[in-house]
Amino acid sequence: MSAKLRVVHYLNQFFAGLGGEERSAHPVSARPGPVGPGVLLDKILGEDAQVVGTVFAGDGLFAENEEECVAEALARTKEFAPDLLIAGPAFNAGRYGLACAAVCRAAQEAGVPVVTAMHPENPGFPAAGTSVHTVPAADSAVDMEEALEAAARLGLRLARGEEIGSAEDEGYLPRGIRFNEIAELPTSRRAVDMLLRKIKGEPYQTELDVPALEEIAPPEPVSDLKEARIAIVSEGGMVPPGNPDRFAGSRNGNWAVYSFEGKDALPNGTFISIHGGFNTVFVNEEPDRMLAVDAFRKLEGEGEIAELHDDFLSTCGNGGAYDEMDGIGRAWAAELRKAGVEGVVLPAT
Amino acid sequence: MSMRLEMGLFPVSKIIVGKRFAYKDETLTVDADELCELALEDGDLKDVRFDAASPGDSARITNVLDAVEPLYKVSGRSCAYPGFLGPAKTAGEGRTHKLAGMCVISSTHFLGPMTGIMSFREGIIDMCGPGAAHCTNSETANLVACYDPLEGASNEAHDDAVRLATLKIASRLAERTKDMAPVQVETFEIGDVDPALPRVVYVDQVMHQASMVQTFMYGRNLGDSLPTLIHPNEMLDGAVVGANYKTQQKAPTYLHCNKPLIYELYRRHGVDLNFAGMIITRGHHDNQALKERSAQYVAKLAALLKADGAVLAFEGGGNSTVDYWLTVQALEQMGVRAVPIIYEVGRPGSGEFPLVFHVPEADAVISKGMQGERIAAPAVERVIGAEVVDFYNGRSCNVREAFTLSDSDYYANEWARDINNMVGKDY
Repeated sequence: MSAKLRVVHYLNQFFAGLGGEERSAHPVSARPGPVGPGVLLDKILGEDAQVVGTVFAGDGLFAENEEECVAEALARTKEFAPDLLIAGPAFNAGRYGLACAAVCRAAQEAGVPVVTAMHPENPGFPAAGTSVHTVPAADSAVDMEEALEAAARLGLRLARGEEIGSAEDEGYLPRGIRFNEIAELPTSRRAVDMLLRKIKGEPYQTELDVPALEEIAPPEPVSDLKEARIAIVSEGGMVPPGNPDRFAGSRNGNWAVYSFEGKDALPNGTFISIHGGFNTVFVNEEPDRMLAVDAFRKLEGEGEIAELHDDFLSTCGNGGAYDEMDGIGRAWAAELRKAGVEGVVLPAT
Repeated sequence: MSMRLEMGLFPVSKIIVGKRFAYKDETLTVDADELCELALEDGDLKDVRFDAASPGDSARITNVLDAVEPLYKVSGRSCAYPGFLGPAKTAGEGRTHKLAGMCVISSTHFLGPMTGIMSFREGIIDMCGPGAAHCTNSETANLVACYDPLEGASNEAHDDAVRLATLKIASRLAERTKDMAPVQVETFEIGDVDPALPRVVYVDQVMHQASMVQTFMYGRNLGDSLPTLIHPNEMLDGAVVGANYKTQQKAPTYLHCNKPLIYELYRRHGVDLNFAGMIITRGHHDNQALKERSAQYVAKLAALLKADGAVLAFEGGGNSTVDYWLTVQALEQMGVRAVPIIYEVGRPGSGEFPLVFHVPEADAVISKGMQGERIAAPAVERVIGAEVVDFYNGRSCNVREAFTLSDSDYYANEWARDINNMVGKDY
């Protein structure tokens, strides 16, 4: 039989038995063997693994000097030559959870398999990111054994390099990432099963828990158009012929600034659309049918707007990833604000 | 209206391109000269060649437009594929003969310029290897018709010509069985059942945007249509024909005739539900007002059918998902519980937002998983269709060799996800 797997356990000062808030400045320290709940963890690990060392630190110190504490905790952890790091359970203790998350991320980057345990509402859970596994724990220490069992079960599989399945199958908290699997039942059968449960008022579990979209409130109208500098921006894939900035027709993440300077209109050949999701024939014949520079120049001449902004901010939004488009929008807002633009027209495609 | 359809099945697992029609022991031999003459008889196509491939063959089919199941009406009011192969008489009753487990695949190229949405987007069928799970029609025996366009043919005219020729070829093959006894007969009829069973409707949203992205019903595209009722048997008889060449999103005609939800609802009719009917609706309406109008119509039709709930399936991309979710919302607000099936747009492992749009009423969603996996496609012995292929991302590739591609470059990938039970899971 192979040697027992070597497990290092990370704790805060309270669970290491040093004391409460009054000892929260305790420096990062280490001791061979299990400490506090580590004794129970060692028992749960059984024949296959053992707690070879415990690393612990005060939550307050850790929160104030995270970078140094992480480096120190990682160095202490490595001294035990671990096959696995288990951090916590941190329950709903926020600073402890954040410390567990930080230590786990660092150890994982250093090549040590890691698992932590905490309550889903602990700020340490999102801080653990999309690569560290977190098993659920209650919001207080009442369910210590259950949380340690879950951490040990998943941790040993990670330490052995086994492939880890979905959050639902493996019992860890969803980390905000998704992967494909083959379902046991046909798609249509699952749909009808779920519908019948819904009709009968029985519990059902959606296969896609959609995060709520941010509500975007329309801004106040421009107070005086006659005094306003107006910009035209577009997600319609409008580029100079040749597509110099290599926008993709779908799933594009690039954007660029082109110029309307000195142009009274956009005749054929000034811009083309490389957007893959609408009929681009008419826009390519006459780019102003999307961007309407001709109309805005007229409004400018009539004094209806003060000025058309020369910079044209352009991207292709077809099939764009939500976060990527959100980032582009924010970057544009900053650019336009800096340029003193008061109103923006975004022609939809 | 009671509508009873007998589907006489002639299973096909192997196709031989030969000189005389024969059907024996699941092997279909086709008369290539006869089919060629049939395809060219209207003078709208320059030439056609035939080839065949079976599941497991070291073969790759390229430039695929549609996949059509051979259907022929032995008795009944209508023909198969009504509106194309005969008058638009109501289909779905009488007896249909089907060469089951096979398709006629149309493969071609276009001569006119391709811009924006009005372009053919390459999709390939791998008959073997890891890609087979990512496309439809890797599991059917395929007779591939490779068409050459007439010189000067517009994209639209060539598309129309290929569609008609392919439907004719498919139906001619099934016609050859008209005096033969089917191996198996399946009967489809929505009979009276225990009225206490929950009433379930199937809402099928298909795609219409422009040429190269359209769906036909009884020979006419759904461009200016309102949501309407259709009997599932009409679908089985080919009342709906697909003409959407956005490859990953498309529903081939073969799928319109074999929608998994139709079979599932028939299977459970009288067991744990009452199949109350089917509503067909198009996606990609031009603006919010039209999307809302369409969603309201679907919900109203479902309510008129006294539906307790609706299962929804979907063909299309980002814009069309707005129509889809508004329909789910309208159904729920009308008191009809709704379960939509959807693919996810966040790439695997990316943490990206999984949908383009969403409504809070959609709290019971079935996932078909997410696109964005890279597939290592092996070299193959045979390529049917062009060997050098232009993919949507602009890359050109000789596809006889081994190469890698995105799962979404496979033919009808979103429906392959459905029939192969792919699901997205939280990790």
